[in-house]
Amino acid sequence: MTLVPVLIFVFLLSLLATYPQAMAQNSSPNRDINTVLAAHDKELLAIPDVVGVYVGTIGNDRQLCLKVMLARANPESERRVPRMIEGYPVVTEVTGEVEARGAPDSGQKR
Amino acid sequence: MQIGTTPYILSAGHVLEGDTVLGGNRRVARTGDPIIQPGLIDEQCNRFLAQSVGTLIKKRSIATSNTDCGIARVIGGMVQTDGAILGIGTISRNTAAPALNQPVQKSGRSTGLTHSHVSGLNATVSVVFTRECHGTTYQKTFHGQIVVSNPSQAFLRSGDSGSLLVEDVSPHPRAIGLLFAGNKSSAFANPIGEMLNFLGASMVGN
Repeated sequence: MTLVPVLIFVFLLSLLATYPQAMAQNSSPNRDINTVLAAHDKELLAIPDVVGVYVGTIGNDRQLCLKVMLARANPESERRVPRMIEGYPVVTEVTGEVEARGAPDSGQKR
Repeated sequence: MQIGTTPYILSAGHVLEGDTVLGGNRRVARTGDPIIQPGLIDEQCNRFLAQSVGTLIKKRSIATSNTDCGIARVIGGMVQTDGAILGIGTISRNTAAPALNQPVQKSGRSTGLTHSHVSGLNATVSVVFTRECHGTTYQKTFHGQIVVSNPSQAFLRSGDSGSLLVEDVSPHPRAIGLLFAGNKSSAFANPIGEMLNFLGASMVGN
């Protein structure tokens, strides 16, 4: 009678154990980076203080990467962001909140 | 831009129809409201020092689409209708898709004419809006947005929303996007094609 809940628990545990590796695998990319972004943006945005993700470049050779924007410095969130996703490097930036730019501060007009 | 052959002023939705709650002024933006130039903050909040240049056509883009755009029907003779932008000149009537590292420019209320480059594509980004001037805030997530390098907010600052993002070429640059949000390192624009589709509009220009 108690075997079924135990098996379910073990199954869920195995999913949790394999998920980070699936997200962070270091192999060469098999999919277009935009497809990879679309497949992972929700998980990344669910990490606290993550306010955006996009396709960018790093280095002088402008290697394609995924960029993750953080509203504020948060070591725990930075730790949860994988360094690689499906063969693409992931770069974390502390950028602040993304805000609509409609309301001007007085005296700014050029 | 134009819908059919009727010219409209294009800006960000949160600029033209940003007052979404009764709040402090007991008003919400409605179709037919006057659109004035310069804005109230540049005229000591005295609307009679400004000129009415259009009438608002409420589109509710933020609530109903993946864009942040607003339009006003032009009052005849109050604005140029040939696609000319201050500091840039007459743009092309054609549009362009963005590309990584592409040079771009914009002309805006706060920072004037500035130049930068596309630093990211296909952004999924959560943007903070206010429900009215100095009002409460809410967030909306947009997909497929254009990212522009904005170090120290030299390219885009508060008050620049609604600026058209165009190629940094001369003459007659093509429109790429509509700028609407930013932070200390990046600016964000709606892709022009999706926005024009939402409005059923086309660009004017050469």
